[in-house]
Amino acid sequence: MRTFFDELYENYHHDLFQFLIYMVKDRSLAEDLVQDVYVRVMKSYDSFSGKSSEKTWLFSIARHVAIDYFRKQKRKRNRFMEFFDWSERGEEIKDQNKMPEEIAVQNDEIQRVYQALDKCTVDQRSVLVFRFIQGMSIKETAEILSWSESKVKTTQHRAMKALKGILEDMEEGRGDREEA
Amino acid sequence: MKKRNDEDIKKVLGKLPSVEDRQSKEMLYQKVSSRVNTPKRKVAPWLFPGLATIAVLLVLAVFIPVFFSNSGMLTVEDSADRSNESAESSSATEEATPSFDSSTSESEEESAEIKKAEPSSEDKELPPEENIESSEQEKEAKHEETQKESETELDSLVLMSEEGGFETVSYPGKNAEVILPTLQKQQDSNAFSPERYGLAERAVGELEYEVDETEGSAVVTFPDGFTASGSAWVSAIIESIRWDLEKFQLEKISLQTESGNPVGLGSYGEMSEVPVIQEGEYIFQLYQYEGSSERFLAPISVDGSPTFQDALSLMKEKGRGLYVSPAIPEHVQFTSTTEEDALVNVNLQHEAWASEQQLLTMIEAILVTAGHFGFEKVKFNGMNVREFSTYDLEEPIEVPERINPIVE
Repeated sequence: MRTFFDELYENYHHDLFQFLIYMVKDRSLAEDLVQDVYVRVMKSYDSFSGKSSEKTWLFSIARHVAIDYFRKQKRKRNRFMEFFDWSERGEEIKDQNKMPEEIAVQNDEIQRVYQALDKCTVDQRSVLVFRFIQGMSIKETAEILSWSESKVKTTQHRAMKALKGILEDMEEGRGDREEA
Repeated sequence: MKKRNDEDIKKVLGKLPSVEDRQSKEMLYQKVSSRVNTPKRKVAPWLFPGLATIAVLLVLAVFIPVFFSNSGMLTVEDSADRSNESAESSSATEEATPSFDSSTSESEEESAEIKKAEPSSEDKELPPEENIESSEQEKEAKHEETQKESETELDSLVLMSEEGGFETVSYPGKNAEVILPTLQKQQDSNAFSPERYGLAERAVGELEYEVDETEGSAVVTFPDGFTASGSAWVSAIIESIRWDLEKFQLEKISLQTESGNPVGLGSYGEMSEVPVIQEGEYIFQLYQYEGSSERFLAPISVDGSPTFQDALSLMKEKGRGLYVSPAIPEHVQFTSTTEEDALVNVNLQHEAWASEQQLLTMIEAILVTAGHFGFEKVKFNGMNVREFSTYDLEEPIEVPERINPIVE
Protein backbone atom coordinates (compact mmCIF):
# COMPACT_ATOMS: atom_id res chain seq x y z
CA MET A 1 0.00 0.00 0.00
CA ARG A 2 2.82 2.31 0.86
CA THR A 3 4.37 1.97 -2.58
CA PHE A 4 1.13 2.73 -4.30
CA PHE A 5 0.55 5.74 -2.09
CA ASP A 6 4.06 7.01 -2.76
CA GLU A 7 3.52 6.67 -6.47
CA LEU A 8 0.22 8.55 -6.41
CA TYR A 9 1.58 11.20 -4.13
CA GLU A 10 4.66 11.86 -6.25
CA ASN A 11 2.74 11.97 -9.51
CA TYR A 12 -0.54 13.64 -8.64
CA HIS A 13 -0.68 15.07 -5.14
CA HIS A 14 0.09 18.62 -6.14
CA ASP A 15 -2.60 18.77 -8.83
CA LEU A 16 -5.02 16.88 -6.60
CA PHE A 17 -4.67 19.39 -3.78
CA GLN A 18 -4.95 22.34 -6.20
CA PHE A 19 -8.19 20.95 -7.56
CA LEU A 20 -9.66 20.53 -4.10
CA ILE A 21 -8.51 23.90 -2.73
CA TYR A 22 -9.99 25.77 -5.69
CA MET A 23 -13.17 23.78 -5.43
CA VAL A 24 -13.81 24.24 -1.69
CA LYS A 25 -11.74 27.43 -1.08
CA ASP A 26 -10.68 26.31 2.37
CA ARG A 27 -7.21 24.99 3.11
CA SER A 28 -7.95 22.84 6.16
CA LEU A 29 -11.05 21.46 4.50
CA ALA A 30 -9.06 20.65 1.39
CA GLU A 31 -6.54 18.84 3.56
CA ASP A 32 -9.31 16.71 5.06
CA LEU A 33 -10.84 16.01 1.68
CA VAL A 34 -7.53 14.98 0.15
CA GLN A 35 -7.28 12.36 2.89
CA ASP A 36 -10.72 11.13 1.92
CA VAL A 37 -9.61 10.86 -1.67
CA TYR A 38 -6.59 8.74 -0.78
CA VAL A 39 -8.65 6.54 1.52
CA ARG A 40 -11.18 5.88 -1.22
CA VAL A 41 -8.42 5.25 -3.72
CA MET A 42 -6.65 2.81 -1.44
CA LYS A 43 -9.82 0.96 -0.63
CA SER A 44 -10.93 0.70 -4.23
CA TYR A 45 -7.53 0.02 -5.76
CA ASP A 46 -8.40 -3.61 -6.37
CA SER A 47 -11.45 -2.56 -8.34
CA PHE A 48 -9.46 -0.22 -10.60
CA SER A 49 -9.96 -1.76 -14.02
CA GLY A 50 -7.35 0.20 -15.92
CA LYS A 51 -9.80 1.23 -18.61
CA SER A 52 -9.05 4.84 -17.81
CA SER A 53 -5.72 6.31 -16.84
CA GLU A 54 -4.67 6.40 -13.22
CA LYS A 55 -4.86 10.18 -13.24
CA THR A 56 -8.38 10.22 -14.68
CA TRP A 57 -9.48 7.69 -12.08
CA LEU A 58 -7.88 9.67 -9.23
CA PHE A 59 -9.41 13.01 -10.21
CA SER A 60 -12.77 11.43 -10.85
CA ILE A 61 -12.72 10.21 -7.26
CA ALA A 62 -11.59 13.65 -6.06
CA ARG A 63 -14.47 15.32 -7.87
CA HIS A 64 -16.96 12.96 -6.26
CA VAL A 65 -15.44 13.60 -2.84
CA ALA A 66 -15.90 17.35 -3.42
CA ILE A 67 -19.48 16.90 -4.66
CA ASP A 68 -20.29 14.73 -1.63
CA TYR A 69 -19.01 17.52 0.59
CA PHE A 70 -21.19 20.12 -1.17
CA ARG A 71 -24.24 17.89 -0.84
CA LYS A 72 -23.66 17.47 2.88
CA GLN A 73 -23.30 21.23 3.24
CA LYS A 74 -26.51 21.77 1.33
CA ARG A 75 -28.42 19.39 3.60
CA LYS A 76 -27.06 21.14 6.68
CA ARG A 77 -27.99 24.51 5.21
CA ASN A 78 -31.51 23.36 4.43
CA ARG A 79 -32.00 22.15 8.00
CA PHE A 80 -30.65 25.43 9.27
CA MET A 81 -32.94 27.42 6.97
CA GLU A 82 -35.99 25.85 8.54
CA PHE A 83 -35.68 28.00 11.61
CA PHE A 84 -33.56 30.85 10.34
CA ASP A 85 -34.84 33.81 8.33
CA TRP A 86 -32.19 33.67 5.64
CA SER A 87 -33.68 36.46 3.53
CA GLU A 88 -33.17 39.05 6.25
CA ARG A 89 -30.03 37.84 7.98
CA GLY A 90 -28.28 35.90 5.26
CA GLU A 91 -26.50 38.87 3.76
CA GLU A 92 -24.93 39.73 7.07
CA ILE A 93 -23.13 36.41 7.09
CA LYS A 94 -19.84 36.73 5.31
CA ASP A 95 -17.60 34.00 4.01
CA GLN A 96 -15.45 33.16 7.00
CA ASN A 97 -12.95 31.13 4.98
CA LYS A 98 -9.64 32.83 5.17
CA MET A 99 -8.03 33.48 1.81
CA PRO A 100 -4.87 31.42 1.45
CA GLU A 101 -1.67 33.44 1.83
CA GLU A 102 -0.61 32.49 -1.63
CA ILE A 103 -3.71 34.27 -3.01
CA ALA A 104 -3.64 37.15 -0.57
CA VAL A 105 -0.30 38.35 -1.87
CA GLN A 106 -1.50 38.45 -5.46
CA ASN A 107 -2.92 41.48 -7.25
CA ASP A 108 -6.58 42.51 -7.06
CA GLU A 109 -7.53 40.95 -10.37
CA ILE A 110 -6.29 37.53 -9.29
CA GLN A 111 -8.00 37.85 -5.92
CA ARG A 112 -11.27 38.86 -7.63
CA VAL A 113 -11.11 35.86 -9.97
CA TYR A 114 -10.41 33.60 -6.99
CA GLN A 115 -13.46 35.00 -5.21
CA ALA A 116 -15.58 34.92 -8.37
CA LEU A 117 -15.04 31.17 -8.67
CA ASP A 118 -17.33 30.79 -5.67
CA LYS A 119 -20.24 32.18 -7.66
CA CYS A 120 -19.92 29.62 -10.46
CA THR A 121 -21.71 26.30 -10.34
CA VAL A 122 -19.79 23.21 -9.24
CA ASP A 123 -19.67 21.90 -12.83
CA GLN A 124 -18.48 25.25 -14.21
CA ARG A 125 -15.88 25.53 -11.47
CA SER A 126 -14.68 21.98 -12.12
CA VAL A 127 -14.19 22.69 -15.82
CA LEU A 128 -12.38 26.01 -15.15
CA VAL A 129 -10.03 24.39 -12.64
CA PHE A 130 -9.22 21.37 -14.79
CA ARG A 131 -8.86 23.33 -18.00
CA PHE A 132 -7.14 26.56 -17.03
CA ILE A 133 -5.59 26.07 -13.59
CA GLN A 134 -4.51 22.47 -14.05
CA GLY A 135 -3.98 22.83 -17.80
CA MET A 136 -5.80 19.64 -18.75
CA SER A 137 -7.06 19.00 -22.26
CA ILE A 138 -10.71 18.86 -23.29
CA LYS A 139 -10.37 15.11 -23.60
CA GLU A 140 -8.82 14.60 -20.14
CA THR A 141 -11.47 16.83 -18.57
CA ALA A 142 -14.22 14.93 -20.37
CA GLU A 143 -12.85 11.60 -19.10
CA ILE A 144 -12.60 12.79 -15.52
CA LEU A 145 -16.10 14.21 -15.59
CA SER A 146 -17.45 11.27 -17.61
CA TRP A 147 -18.87 13.78 -20.03
CA SER A 148 -18.71 14.17 -23.76
CA GLU A 149 -16.12 16.62 -25.03
CA SER A 150 -18.86 18.83 -26.45
CA LYS A 151 -20.46 19.10 -23.02
CA VAL A 152 -17.11 20.15 -21.59
CA LYS A 153 -16.85 22.84 -24.28
CA THR A 154 -20.38 24.08 -23.65
CA THR A 155 -19.87 24.17 -19.88
CA GLN A 156 -16.53 25.91 -20.38
CA HIS A 157 -18.18 28.55 -22.56
CA ARG A 158 -20.92 29.17 -20.02
CA ALA A 159 -18.39 29.25 -17.17
CA MET A 160 -16.32 31.93 -18.94
CA LYS A 161 -19.41 33.98 -19.60
CA ALA A 162 -20.58 33.64 -16.01
CA LEU A 163 -17.17 34.53 -14.63
CA LYS A 164 -17.02 37.65 -16.74
CA GLY A 165 -20.42 38.75 -15.55
CA ILE A 166 -19.50 38.03 -11.93
CA LEU A 167 -16.31 40.06 -12.21
CA GLU A 168 -18.23 42.95 -13.78
CA ASP A 169 -20.78 42.82 -11.01
CA MET A 170 -18.02 42.77 -8.40
CA GLU A 171 -16.46 45.85 -9.93
CA GLU A 172 -19.84 47.59 -9.94
CA GLY A 173 -20.35 46.53 -6.37
CA ARG A 174 -23.54 44.61 -7.07
CA GLY A 175 -22.70 41.64 -4.97
CA ASP A 176 -24.25 38.27 -5.65
CA ARG A 177 -25.21 37.27 -9.11
CA GLU A 178 -27.57 34.60 -10.16
CA GLU A 179 -25.81 32.16 -12.42
CA ALA A 180 -27.27 30.91 -15.64
CA MET B 1 -15.35 49.30 -16.06
CA LYS B 2 -12.74 46.93 -17.35
CA LYS B 3 -13.77 44.86 -20.42
CA ARG B 4 -12.44 41.30 -20.44
CA ASN B 5 -12.44 38.72 -23.13
CA ASP B 6 -12.06 34.94 -22.65
CA GLU B 7 -8.32 35.08 -23.18
CA ASP B 8 -7.88 37.63 -20.40
CA ILE B 9 -9.76 35.43 -17.99
CA LYS B 10 -7.84 32.33 -19.06
CA LYS B 11 -4.61 34.19 -18.39
CA VAL B 12 -5.73 35.26 -14.94
CA LEU B 13 -6.90 31.73 -14.14
CA GLY B 14 -3.56 30.47 -15.30
CA LYS B 15 -1.84 32.89 -12.94
CA LEU B 16 -3.71 31.66 -9.89
CA PRO B 17 -0.95 30.50 -7.57
CA SER B 18 -0.30 27.04 -6.45
CA VAL B 19 -1.58 26.55 -2.87
CA GLU B 20 0.56 24.19 -0.86
CA ASP B 21 -0.72 21.32 1.22
CA ARG B 22 0.86 21.91 4.63
CA GLN B 23 0.58 18.35 5.82
CA SER B 24 3.65 16.33 5.07
CA LYS B 25 3.58 13.24 2.94
CA GLU B 26 4.39 11.08 5.96
CA MET B 27 1.67 12.63 8.09
CA LEU B 28 -0.80 12.24 5.28
CA TYR B 29 0.12 8.60 4.83
CA GLN B 30 -0.26 7.90 8.54
CA LYS B 31 -3.73 9.42 8.56
CA VAL B 32 -4.77 7.62 5.40
CA SER B 33 -3.35 4.25 6.42
CA SER B 34 -4.95 4.44 9.85
CA ARG B 35 -8.31 4.99 8.22
CA VAL B 36 -7.77 2.34 5.55
CA ASN B 37 -6.67 -0.25 8.10
CA THR B 38 -9.53 0.40 10.48
CA PRO B 39 -11.27 -2.95 10.71
CA LYS B 40 -14.49 -2.81 8.92
CA ARG B 41 -17.49 -3.53 11.08
CA LYS B 42 -18.62 -6.92 9.95
CA VAL B 43 -21.99 -6.84 11.58
CA ALA B 44 -24.61 -4.18 11.73
CA PRO B 45 -24.27 -1.93 14.79
CA TRP B 46 -27.79 -2.74 15.93
CA LEU B 47 -27.27 -6.49 15.76
CA PHE B 48 -25.89 -7.21 19.23
CA PRO B 49 -28.17 -4.80 21.13
CA GLY B 50 -31.06 -6.18 19.12
CA LEU B 51 -30.18 -9.78 19.93
CA ALA B 52 -29.72 -8.90 23.60
CA THR B 53 -33.14 -7.25 23.69
CA ILE B 54 -34.76 -10.27 22.07
CA ALA B 55 -33.02 -12.57 24.56
CA VAL B 56 -34.28 -10.49 27.49
CA LEU B 57 -37.83 -10.55 26.13
CA LEU B 58 -37.67 -14.31 25.69
CA VAL B 59 -36.43 -14.79 29.24
CA LEU B 60 -39.20 -12.55 30.55
CA ALA B 61 -41.77 -14.39 28.46
CA VAL B 62 -40.67 -17.64 30.04
CA PHE B 63 -40.27 -16.51 33.64
CA ILE B 64 -43.14 -14.08 34.13
CA PRO B 65 -45.85 -16.76 33.73
CA VAL B 66 -43.85 -19.10 35.95
CA PHE B 67 -43.44 -16.36 38.52
CA PHE B 68 -47.14 -15.60 38.63
CA SER B 69 -47.97 -19.28 38.65
CA ASN B 70 -45.71 -19.82 41.64
CA SER B 71 -47.19 -16.82 43.42
CA GLY B 72 -50.62 -18.37 43.13
CA MET B 73 -49.43 -21.67 44.50
CA LEU B 74 -47.71 -19.99 47.41
CA THR B 75 -50.93 -18.27 48.33
CA VAL B 76 -52.69 -21.58 48.55
CA GLU B 77 -49.93 -23.17 50.54
CA ASP B 78 -49.83 -20.24 52.88
CA SER B 79 -53.51 -20.60 53.40
CA ALA B 80 -53.19 -24.28 53.97
CA ASP B 81 -50.65 -23.74 56.68
CA ARG B 82 -53.06 -21.63 58.56
CA SER B 83 -56.16 -23.67 58.16
CA ASN B 84 -57.06 -26.74 56.25
CA GLU B 85 -54.86 -27.85 53.46
CA SER B 86 -57.12 -30.38 51.90
CA ALA B 87 -60.37 -28.58 52.42
CA GLU B 88 -59.02 -25.18 51.43
CA SER B 89 -57.58 -26.40 48.18
CA SER B 90 -60.74 -28.25 47.38
CA SER B 91 -62.79 -25.12 47.11
CA ALA B 92 -61.92 -24.17 43.60
CA THR B 93 -64.56 -25.28 41.19
CA GLU B 94 -66.53 -23.53 38.55
CA GLU B 95 -69.77 -24.42 40.29
CA ALA B 96 -68.64 -22.93 43.51
CA THR B 97 -67.08 -19.83 42.05
CA PRO B 98 -68.58 -16.83 43.80
CA SER B 99 -70.56 -14.26 41.87
CA PHE B 100 -69.05 -10.83 41.90
CA ASP B 101 -70.33 -7.31 41.74
CA SER B 102 -69.49 -6.25 38.23
CA SER B 103 -69.92 -2.60 39.09
CA THR B 104 -66.68 -2.42 41.01
CA SER B 105 -63.25 -2.95 39.66
CA GLU B 106 -62.13 -4.23 42.99
CA SER B 107 -64.47 -7.15 42.73
CA GLU B 108 -63.03 -7.98 39.34
CA GLU B 109 -59.64 -8.08 40.96
CA GLU B 110 -61.12 -10.27 43.60
CA SER B 111 -62.34 -12.66 40.98
CA ALA B 112 -58.89 -12.85 39.49
CA GLU B 113 -57.35 -13.34 42.86
CA ILE B 114 -59.55 -16.21 43.83
CA LYS B 115 -59.27 -17.84 40.45
CA LYS B 116 -55.52 -17.54 40.75
CA ALA B 117 -55.65 -19.79 43.75
CA GLU B 118 -57.27 -22.54 41.74
CA PRO B 119 -54.20 -24.43 40.69
CA SER B 120 -55.81 -27.12 38.62
CA SER B 121 -58.76 -25.35 37.04
CA GLU B 122 -56.76 -24.14 34.10
CA ASP B 123 -55.39 -27.59 33.44
CA LYS B 124 -58.84 -29.00 33.41
CA GLU B 125 -59.99 -26.66 30.70
CA LEU B 126 -57.19 -27.56 28.37
CA PRO B 127 -57.68 -30.30 25.80
CA PRO B 128 -55.81 -33.46 26.73
CA GLU B 129 -53.52 -33.33 23.71
CA GLU B 130 -52.31 -29.93 24.72
CA ASN B 131 -52.07 -30.59 28.40
CA ILE B 132 -50.69 -34.07 28.64
CA GLU B 133 -47.49 -35.04 27.01
CA SER B 134 -46.70 -38.37 28.58
CA SER B 135 -48.55 -41.22 30.17
CA GLU B 136 -47.19 -40.21 33.55
CA GLN B 137 -48.61 -36.76 33.20
CA GLU B 138 -51.85 -38.29 32.03
CA LYS B 139 -52.08 -40.30 35.22
CA GLU B 140 -51.41 -37.21 37.27
CA ALA B 141 -54.08 -35.33 35.40
CA LYS B 142 -56.60 -38.08 35.93
CA HIS B 143 -55.71 -38.14 39.59
CA GLU B 144 -56.25 -34.40 39.77
CA GLU B 145 -59.57 -34.69 38.02
CA THR B 146 -60.71 -37.42 40.37
CA GLN B 147 -59.57 -35.40 43.32
CA LYS B 148 -61.36 -32.35 41.99
CA GLU B 149 -64.60 -34.20 41.50
CA SER B 150 -64.54 -35.20 45.13
CA GLU B 151 -63.80 -31.65 46.16
CA THR B 152 -66.63 -29.87 44.53
CA GLU B 153 -68.44 -28.86 47.72
CA LEU B 154 -67.34 -26.30 50.21
CA ASP B 155 -67.03 -27.43 53.78
CA SER B 156 -69.54 -25.49 55.88
CA LEU B 157 -69.10 -25.61 59.66
CA VAL B 158 -72.49 -24.30 60.65
CA LEU B 159 -76.11 -25.38 60.34
CA MET B 160 -78.27 -22.54 59.09
CA SER B 161 -81.53 -24.42 58.63
CA GLU B 162 -83.97 -25.24 61.39
CA GLU B 163 -83.78 -28.87 60.50
CA GLY B 164 -84.62 -30.98 63.54
CA GLY B 165 -83.37 -34.31 64.74
CA PHE B 166 -79.92 -33.07 65.70
CA GLU B 167 -78.52 -33.25 69.18
CA THR B 168 -75.42 -31.58 70.53
CA VAL B 169 -72.66 -33.99 71.48
CA SER B 170 -69.40 -32.50 72.68
CA TYR B 171 -66.03 -34.17 72.32
CA PRO B 172 -62.64 -33.12 73.61
CA GLY B 173 -59.96 -32.44 71.09
CA LYS B 174 -57.12 -34.92 70.87
CA ASN B 175 -55.15 -33.37 73.70
CA ALA B 176 -58.27 -32.25 75.60
CA GLU B 177 -57.34 -28.60 75.27
CA VAL B 178 -60.61 -27.67 73.65
CA ILE B 179 -64.15 -29.03 73.67
CA LEU B 180 -65.83 -29.33 70.32
CA PRO B 181 -69.63 -29.33 70.32
CA THR B 182 -70.91 -31.31 67.34
CA LEU B 183 -74.37 -31.78 65.88
CA GLN B 184 -75.33 -35.35 65.21
CA LYS B 185 -78.46 -37.07 64.08
CA GLN B 186 -79.85 -38.87 67.09
CA GLN B 187 -79.87 -42.26 65.42
CA ASP B 188 -76.26 -41.83 64.29
CA SER B 189 -74.75 -40.72 67.57
CA ASN B 190 -74.22 -44.22 68.93
CA ALA B 191 -72.29 -45.30 65.83
CA PHE B 192 -70.18 -42.17 65.72
CA SER B 193 -66.43 -42.76 65.77
CA PRO B 194 -64.63 -39.73 67.21
CA GLU B 195 -61.27 -41.15 66.13
CA ARG B 196 -62.28 -40.86 62.52
CA TYR B 197 -62.88 -37.14 62.99
CA GLY B 198 -59.71 -36.46 64.90
CA LEU B 199 -61.52 -36.19 68.23
CA ALA B 200 -61.00 -37.84 71.62
CA GLU B 201 -63.54 -40.09 73.31
CA ARG B 202 -66.36 -38.32 75.07
CA ALA B 203 -65.52 -37.14 78.57
CA VAL B 204 -69.09 -37.35 79.81
CA GLY B 205 -70.20 -40.67 78.39
CA GLU B 206 -71.19 -42.03 81.81
CA LEU B 207 -73.26 -39.02 82.81
CA GLU B 208 -77.00 -38.51 82.58
CA TYR B 209 -78.67 -35.20 81.84
CA GLU B 210 -82.06 -34.25 83.15
CA VAL B 211 -83.19 -30.96 81.68
CA ASP B 212 -86.16 -28.91 82.86
CA GLU B 213 -86.54 -26.24 80.20
CA THR B 214 -89.45 -24.53 81.96
CA GLU B 215 -87.33 -24.04 85.07
CA GLY B 216 -84.22 -23.34 83.01
CA SER B 217 -82.21 -25.86 84.94
CA ALA B 218 -80.55 -29.21 84.47
CA VAL B 219 -79.23 -31.90 86.74
CA VAL B 220 -76.19 -33.91 85.69
CA THR B 221 -75.90 -37.24 87.46
CA PHE B 222 -72.52 -38.93 87.87
CA PRO B 223 -72.17 -42.61 88.76
CA ASP B 224 -71.34 -43.29 92.33
CA GLY B 225 -67.65 -43.69 92.81
CA PHE B 226 -66.89 -41.55 89.76
CA THR B 227 -63.29 -40.48 89.67
CA ALA B 228 -61.44 -38.15 87.34
CA SER B 229 -57.68 -37.81 87.23
CA GLY B 230 -55.88 -34.79 85.94
CA SER B 231 -57.09 -31.26 85.86
CA ALA B 232 -57.16 -31.23 82.04
CA TRP B 233 -59.62 -34.10 81.99
CA VAL B 234 -61.73 -32.58 84.77
CA SER B 235 -61.82 -29.36 82.78
CA ALA B 236 -62.85 -31.34 79.70
CA ILE B 237 -65.71 -32.90 81.68
CA ILE B 238 -66.98 -29.57 82.92
CA GLU B 239 -66.71 -27.89 79.50
CA SER B 240 -68.41 -30.83 77.81
CA ILE B 241 -71.36 -30.57 80.20
CA ARG B 242 -71.67 -26.85 79.61
CA TRP B 243 -71.55 -27.20 75.80
CA ASP B 244 -73.83 -30.23 75.72
CA LEU B 245 -76.46 -28.16 77.53
CA GLU B 246 -75.70 -24.82 75.91
CA LYS B 247 -78.57 -25.01 73.43
CA PHE B 248 -81.15 -25.06 76.27
CA GLN B 249 -80.17 -21.54 77.41
CA LEU B 250 -80.25 -22.72 81.02
CA GLU B 251 -79.76 -20.65 84.11
CA LYS B 252 -78.42 -23.39 86.35
CA ILE B 253 -76.60 -26.71 85.91
CA SER B 254 -76.42 -28.91 89.01
CA LEU B 255 -74.05 -31.82 89.51
CA GLN B 256 -74.72 -34.81 91.73
CA THR B 257 -73.88 -38.44 92.14
CA GLU B 258 -76.46 -41.17 91.83
CA SER B 259 -76.65 -40.96 95.59
CA GLY B 260 -77.42 -37.24 95.39
CA ASN B 261 -74.07 -36.12 96.72
CA PRO B 262 -71.74 -33.52 95.32
CA VAL B 263 -69.27 -34.86 92.77
CA GLY B 264 -65.60 -35.12 93.52
CA LEU B 265 -63.69 -33.78 90.54
CA GLY B 266 -60.00 -34.15 91.33
CA SER B 267 -58.21 -30.90 91.98
CA TYR B 268 -61.50 -28.99 91.53
CA GLY B 269 -62.76 -30.60 94.73
CA GLU B 270 -66.36 -31.50 95.32
CA MET B 271 -68.69 -29.69 92.94
CA SER B 272 -72.46 -29.43 92.97
CA GLU B 273 -72.88 -26.91 90.21
CA VAL B 274 -71.14 -25.65 87.08
CA PRO B 275 -71.73 -22.21 85.56
CA VAL B 276 -73.75 -21.96 82.36
CA ILE B 277 -72.10 -20.48 79.32
CA GLN B 278 -72.31 -16.72 79.37
CA GLU B 279 -72.56 -14.37 76.43
CA GLY B 280 -69.16 -13.19 75.16
CA GLU B 281 -67.27 -15.91 77.01
CA TYR B 282 -65.89 -17.58 73.88
CA ILE B 283 -64.53 -16.81 70.47
CA PHE B 284 -64.39 -19.41 67.71
CA GLN B 285 -61.34 -20.68 65.95
CA LEU B 286 -60.58 -23.73 63.88
CA TYR B 287 -59.75 -27.20 65.20
CA GLN B 288 -58.19 -29.82 62.97
CA TYR B 289 -56.26 -32.82 64.18
CA GLU B 290 -53.08 -33.52 62.34
CA GLY B 291 -53.64 -35.65 59.27
CA SER B 292 -57.39 -35.40 59.53
CA SER B 293 -59.47 -33.79 56.83
CA GLU B 294 -62.24 -32.92 59.28
CA ARG B 295 -62.42 -29.46 60.74
CA PHE B 296 -64.50 -28.02 63.55
CA LEU B 297 -65.24 -24.61 64.93
CA ALA B 298 -63.68 -24.62 68.38
CA PRO B 299 -64.95 -22.38 71.19
CA ILE B 300 -61.96 -20.74 72.82
CA SER B 301 -62.55 -19.07 76.17
CA VAL B 302 -61.38 -15.49 76.53
CA ASP B 303 -60.52 -13.59 79.66
CA GLY B 304 -62.42 -10.60 80.92
CA SER B 305 -65.28 -9.12 78.99
CA PRO B 306 -63.94 -8.23 75.56
CA THR B 307 -65.95 -6.18 73.11
CA PHE B 308 -66.85 -7.77 69.81
CA GLN B 309 -64.13 -5.68 68.14
CA ASP B 310 -61.67 -7.12 70.67
CA ALA B 311 -63.04 -10.58 70.00
CA LEU B 312 -62.34 -10.20 66.27
CA SER B 313 -58.75 -9.35 67.06
CA LEU B 314 -58.48 -12.31 69.44
CA MET B 315 -59.80 -14.56 66.69
CA LYS B 316 -56.68 -13.81 64.66
CA GLU B 317 -54.33 -14.80 67.46
CA LYS B 318 -52.44 -18.06 67.23
CA GLY B 319 -51.37 -20.35 70.02
CA ARG B 320 -54.78 -21.14 71.49
CA GLY B 321 -54.23 -24.87 71.28
CA LEU B 322 -52.08 -27.51 69.66
CA TYR B 323 -54.53 -28.27 66.89
CA VAL B 324 -56.23 -24.91 66.91
CA SER B 325 -55.58 -22.18 64.39
CA PRO B 326 -57.24 -18.85 63.54
CA ALA B 327 -60.04 -19.04 61.03
CA ILE B 328 -59.22 -15.50 59.93
CA PRO B 329 -56.28 -15.03 57.57
CA GLU B 330 -53.50 -12.73 58.68
CA HIS B 331 -54.06 -10.33 55.80
CA VAL B 332 -57.55 -9.44 57.03
CA GLN B 333 -57.63 -6.21 59.03
CA PHE B 334 -60.72 -5.23 60.98
CA THR B 335 -60.91 -1.46 60.78
CA SER B 336 -64.01 -0.97 62.91
CA THR B 337 -67.28 -2.46 64.07
CA THR B 338 -70.54 -0.62 64.60
CA GLU B 339 -73.62 -1.94 66.31
CA GLU B 340 -77.27 -1.27 65.42
CA ASP B 341 -79.42 -3.17 67.89
CA ALA B 342 -78.84 -6.84 67.09
CA LEU B 343 -76.89 -6.05 63.90
CA VAL B 344 -73.17 -5.61 63.90
CA ASN B 345 -71.32 -4.07 60.97
CA VAL B 346 -67.86 -5.49 60.46
CA ASN B 347 -65.64 -3.21 58.41
CA LEU B 348 -62.53 -4.86 57.13
CA GLN B 349 -59.72 -4.67 54.63
CA HIS B 350 -58.08 -7.66 53.05
CA GLU B 351 -55.75 -8.91 50.37
CA ALA B 352 -56.30 -11.90 48.13
CA TRP B 353 -58.24 -14.85 49.47
CA ALA B 354 -56.38 -18.09 49.05
CA SER B 355 -59.60 -19.86 48.21
CA GLU B 356 -63.33 -19.60 48.54
CA GLN B 357 -63.14 -22.12 51.36
CA GLN B 358 -60.88 -19.83 53.33
CA LEU B 359 -63.36 -17.00 52.90
CA LEU B 360 -66.31 -19.18 53.87
CA THR B 361 -64.62 -20.49 57.01
CA MET B 362 -63.70 -17.01 58.12
CA ILE B 363 -67.23 -15.71 57.62
CA GLU B 364 -68.76 -18.62 59.51
CA ALA B 365 -66.34 -18.26 62.42
CA ILE B 366 -67.20 -14.56 62.67
CA LEU B 367 -70.92 -15.27 62.42
CA VAL B 368 -70.77 -17.84 65.20
CA THR B 369 -68.68 -15.56 67.40
CA ALA B 370 -71.07 -12.68 66.75
CA GLY B 371 -73.98 -14.93 67.71
CA HIS B 372 -72.18 -15.82 70.90
CA PHE B 373 -71.78 -12.11 71.62
CA GLY B 374 -75.52 -11.61 71.35
CA PHE B 375 -75.85 -10.36 67.79
CA GLU B 376 -78.42 -11.73 65.41
CA LYS B 377 -77.04 -10.44 62.14
CA VAL B 378 -73.67 -9.46 60.75
CA LYS B 379 -73.08 -7.09 57.84
CA PHE B 380 -69.66 -7.37 56.24
CA ASN B 381 -68.29 -4.20 54.64
CA GLY B 382 -65.19 -4.14 52.46
CA MET B 383 -65.30 -7.75 51.33
CA ASN B 384 -65.67 -6.78 47.66
CA VAL B 385 -67.23 -10.17 47.05
CA ARG B 386 -70.96 -9.72 46.68
CA GLU B 387 -72.25 -13.23 46.89
CA PHE B 388 -70.91 -16.73 47.04
CA SER B 389 -72.28 -20.06 48.07
CA THR B 390 -75.20 -19.45 50.38
CA TYR B 391 -74.22 -15.99 51.61
CA ASP B 392 -75.11 -12.68 50.05
CA LEU B 393 -72.40 -10.45 51.41
CA GLU B 394 -74.21 -7.31 50.31
CA GLU B 395 -76.89 -8.01 52.89
CA PRO B 396 -76.74 -8.64 56.65
CA ILE B 397 -76.30 -12.34 57.38
CA GLU B 398 -78.13 -14.11 60.17
CA VAL B 399 -75.92 -15.80 62.72
CA PRO B 400 -76.22 -19.60 62.83
CA GLU B 401 -77.84 -21.33 65.77
CA ARG B 402 -75.74 -24.46 65.68
CA ILE B 403 -72.22 -25.42 64.68
CA ASN B 404 -70.22 -28.41 63.53
CA PRO B 405 -72.92 -30.56 61.95
CA ILE B 406 -71.81 -34.10 61.22
CA VAL B 407 -73.64 -35.90 58.47
CA GLU B 408 -72.37 -39.39 57.81
